[in-house]
Amino acid sequence: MACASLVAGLILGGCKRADPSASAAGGPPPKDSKARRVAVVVSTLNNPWFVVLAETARDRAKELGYEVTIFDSQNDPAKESAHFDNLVSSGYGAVLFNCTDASGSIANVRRAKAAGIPVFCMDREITANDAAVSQILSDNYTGCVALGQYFVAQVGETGRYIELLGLVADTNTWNRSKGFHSVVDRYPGLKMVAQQSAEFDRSKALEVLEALLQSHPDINAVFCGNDAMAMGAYQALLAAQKADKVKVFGFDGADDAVKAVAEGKIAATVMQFPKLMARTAAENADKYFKGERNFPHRTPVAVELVTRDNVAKYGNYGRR
Amino acid sequence: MAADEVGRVSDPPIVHPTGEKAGRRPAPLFAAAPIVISALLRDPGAAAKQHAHHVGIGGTAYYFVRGAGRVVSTGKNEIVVAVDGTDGVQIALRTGPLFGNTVRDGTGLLNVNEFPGLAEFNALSAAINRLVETRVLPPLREHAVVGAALEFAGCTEVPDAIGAGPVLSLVPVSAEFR
Repeated sequence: MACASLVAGLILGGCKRADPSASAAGGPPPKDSKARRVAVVVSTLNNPWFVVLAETARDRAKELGYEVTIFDSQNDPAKESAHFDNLVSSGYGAVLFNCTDASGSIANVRRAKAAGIPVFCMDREITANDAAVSQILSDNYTGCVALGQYFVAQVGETGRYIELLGLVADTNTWNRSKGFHSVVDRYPGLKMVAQQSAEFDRSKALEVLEALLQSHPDINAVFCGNDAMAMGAYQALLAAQKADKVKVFGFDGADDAVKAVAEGKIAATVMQFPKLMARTAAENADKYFKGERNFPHRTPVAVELVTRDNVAKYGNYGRR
Repeated sequence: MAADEVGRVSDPPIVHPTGEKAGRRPAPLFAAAPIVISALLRDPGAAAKQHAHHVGIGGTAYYFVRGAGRVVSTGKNEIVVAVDGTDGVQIALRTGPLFGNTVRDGTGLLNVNEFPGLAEFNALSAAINRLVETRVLPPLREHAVVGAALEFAGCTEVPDAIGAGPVLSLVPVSAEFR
């Protein structure tokens, strides 16, 4: 069996003999060797949340009888583009895709489509309706509406806060920010004193907030577009001896953040369901191989507010 | 489903964000308030299964209901109405700031796949909420005095449980005093 570990950028590979009995659609996977190979292209594996997303997609596709390789784009659109070049020339049958750039990644998806390789997006949206077969996406906006309402309840109707944005090229960043602001901006007493990207990265968030605290030492809260940044923000506040005075809000439902919510270190997060999204994308690919063509283009996946009151229900990137 | 359990709202032409008229589409089904209330009080799970609709995977379920009743109290962010055709069961019409997708998704009229992306679809929620806040809520608040009779239509998330207060809390999309 040809294992795809030779492909540049390969981080984790899964090369397994197909198990036709595992197919969810009731039949074996296609016998065509091209169609039996699935690529999982993920934005980064430097964040446990995306590791869960990629590995779940890989594992579900393997259960369904496909050979699977994970490609790590390391948040670099150029690396992502190179992965698509490779997977097109290597004869993959489908791509389970978590993009680095909502608009910049469209060309990669179109290139795969032109080569007859269907693409199934997970978690991160591409802003085109005619490229991917399906997009399974968290309902970030709704999650941050709920988070915004909780923010107001916890912080009050007056206060000063900082917002740490994610990657500015990712629509999730803005859907979260806009959901949050659709609520919080209705309270004129709540002042955002700084808004800066920390690129969804924990270390970057630590650096950014440390710097911002120099000029804004009197904040009441930090809203972070993901949990990695929330954990970095908490570290910065801890170092500045402000952790007990400043409330931190995250998004993702990452295990360390859920634990931090339980311990009272972080006020709240929002649970996304990466395993559900990844499994659904893999199952859509399986159905596509077997002839299904009628997929809703975008399917929102519900998210849930996690606070100290309900945190016991959550863990391991989902509900317990 | 019996004919008296559901109705159809008027079916205005829908205009795409591009400005291109998409033509008339099937009218959404809404449930009559007394029917939903009766079902809710009997078995909330079964009521949701029969009368609510879901959006996406694991998404919120919504009721879209229409009914009539009389105002029994008014508060800062809601008007409580005793619903005709019930044994005085009360629902609330929300009059406070509106957030989220309750109206966008609750009517069942709008489909994410008919929009360029999630950003545009989300912006629609904010715009719809503002429309309700500017067109529906001011006259509702103005005329809502205890005893006033009105007809209403509105959307709400399926409640987790039935508490001691109003059985449903609707975002009104229509309210007309008789």
